Amino acid sequence: MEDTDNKQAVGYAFLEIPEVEKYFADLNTKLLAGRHVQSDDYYLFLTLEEYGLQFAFFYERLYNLKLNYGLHDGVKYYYLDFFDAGKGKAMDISRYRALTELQTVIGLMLINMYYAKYFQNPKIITWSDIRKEIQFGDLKEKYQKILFDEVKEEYIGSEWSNVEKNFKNTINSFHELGWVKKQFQQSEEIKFEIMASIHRLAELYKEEIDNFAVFTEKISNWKEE
Amino acid sequence: MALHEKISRKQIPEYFTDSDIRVTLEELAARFNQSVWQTDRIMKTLNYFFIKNVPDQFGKYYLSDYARRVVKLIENKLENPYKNYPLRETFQKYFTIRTGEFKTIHDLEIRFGRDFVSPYKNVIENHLDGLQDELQEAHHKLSDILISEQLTAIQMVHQFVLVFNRFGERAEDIGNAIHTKDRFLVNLHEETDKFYQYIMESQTPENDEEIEQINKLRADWAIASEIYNDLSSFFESVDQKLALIHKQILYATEKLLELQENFSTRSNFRLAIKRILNKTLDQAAYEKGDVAFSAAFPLKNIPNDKVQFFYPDYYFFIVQKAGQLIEILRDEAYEQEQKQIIENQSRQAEIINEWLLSALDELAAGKEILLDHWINRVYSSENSIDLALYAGFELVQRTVNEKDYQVDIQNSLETLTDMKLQLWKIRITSRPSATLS
Repeated sequence: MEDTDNKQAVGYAFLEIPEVEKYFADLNTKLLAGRHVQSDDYYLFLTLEEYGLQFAFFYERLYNLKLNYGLHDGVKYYYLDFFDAGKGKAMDISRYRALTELQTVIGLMLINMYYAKYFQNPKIITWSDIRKEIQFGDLKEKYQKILFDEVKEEYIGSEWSNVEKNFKNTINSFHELGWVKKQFQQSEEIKFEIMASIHRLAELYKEEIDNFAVFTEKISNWKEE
Repeated sequence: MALHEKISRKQIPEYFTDSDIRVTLEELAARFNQSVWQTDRIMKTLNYFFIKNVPDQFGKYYLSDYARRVVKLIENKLENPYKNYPLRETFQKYFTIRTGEFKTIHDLEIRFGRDFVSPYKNVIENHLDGLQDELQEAHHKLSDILISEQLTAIQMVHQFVLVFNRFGERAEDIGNAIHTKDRFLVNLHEETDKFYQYIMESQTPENDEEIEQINKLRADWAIASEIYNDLSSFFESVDQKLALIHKQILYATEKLLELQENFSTRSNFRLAIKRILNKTLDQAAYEKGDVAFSAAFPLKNIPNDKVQFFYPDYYFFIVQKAGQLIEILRDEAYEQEQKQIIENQSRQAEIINEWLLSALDELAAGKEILLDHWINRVYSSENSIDLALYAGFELVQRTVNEKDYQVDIQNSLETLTDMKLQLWKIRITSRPSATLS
């Protein structure tokens, strides 16, 4: 009850503050589209830092969504999340989306690569880094199996170009989410910076990561059924 | 590389055979736990780039110059000779200026001219490359430490310290090198400025010899400033590279300090990520150029309500403006008036024409026409001054230049009856040949 009273006390008056008015449309559109807002979206990030409480109230009341933030390697990022109870007003299928299998695999692969570059800043990944990981990394056979359908010593150009296309599309959508910062045009070779916010994907799988044994067992049992 | 190594160790001769290559390939395959390599394909590549046939000795080969260069390049990259040599000493060795070292521009040019300084620049660049490689290597080692599962905590800390120390030394060397380089640039600037001073100190030239002298000083100053600019921009790029390396060292150091506090958390998290990635890959399969998960693997949702504003594009079409048609009402009075005018004019022309024809007939009949009389006649008949005058002028125009008629003009004025006008006395006659017989 007390909590409700506090929420009522916040209200919507902050929308009339000039700096909120100025950035609201951009910020709202990006957050609802799944964007993770961090310091490189300078003004939007500052607005959230300043009026985080008010925005959290706004999204909870009007969208039933949670304005959350993550903190990794000293980098803070804001994003909208569902409450545990469900998807809020984003229940409508047009208002949420599931990450695809390919996006999930590439996302986890990138978090893994993030740690390979843990001591470097910025953490720049090129197409050659990705190829190296697929060809020579310690999970190479698994990568090759799912990306090329077979494990071979070498792959021809067209096989690689299909894989490259898949990576490009995924990197494009991660760029929209704010998980990476793209540094290439569609016709150019892949090059991007991995942002700390990519850890949100790990956060999405937190339950599976924290209870890995249970998760593994669940999968095996499901297979047996 | 393997062939080069064997030749150096005199395990195979300089001119080796086909079977030497095959044996070497088999050894390599065994060393790297590979099954038999595609020997023919490798032989083809070797033949194309790296080995050459020995003339007149069938089945024997030697390493091409290109192959030797590649080997040298790789050796340099792996064992950069500058790796263990402090950067500051390199700077000091090549870029130190002693007082009064440059008496003439020639001295300066020989020491720091673009062509002469280029090998030193290469040394510095190689040095920086070596440093960058070493840093890269250290990064890998650091990352490896983070995923080491089998090492004990004490060993890990020990390894951290080793790598950390090397970073510290490098950072110190870079700091010293930058200091040396800055002092060198200041000294060089002073030296090149002297050539400008020579120009300033010289007097205004008064003869050809002095003009030549001042031109020479100017040319010396141009060379000196070019040398300064060249080295200054070179060191600017060195500065940028060093700043980047320094930044990387600082970042890595910061991360190391952080890790000392929360190493186990980080390390555990990384292992957890690797575990889930591994499991994810196990649950995934290739499907028509895409990836599919087994039904048991959960996919995660994120809000994705894309707000889109649709608006019609603005096109710059040239729009035809509708013309407004105004119907003018018929003004009958005006119409009648205009008709009357036209009719009058038309009738006047007819009348004039009739008068003209009758006049010409008269002339043809041998009569003479006195113009004033004729105009008076028309006037009295038609009762219009204008008409009478037009008819008169028309008659003169029609006859004056015609060979059949003769127009005599006398210098005496005749008054036209009732018209308050005077006219030269004009008599028109027909020439005898034109007269009707």
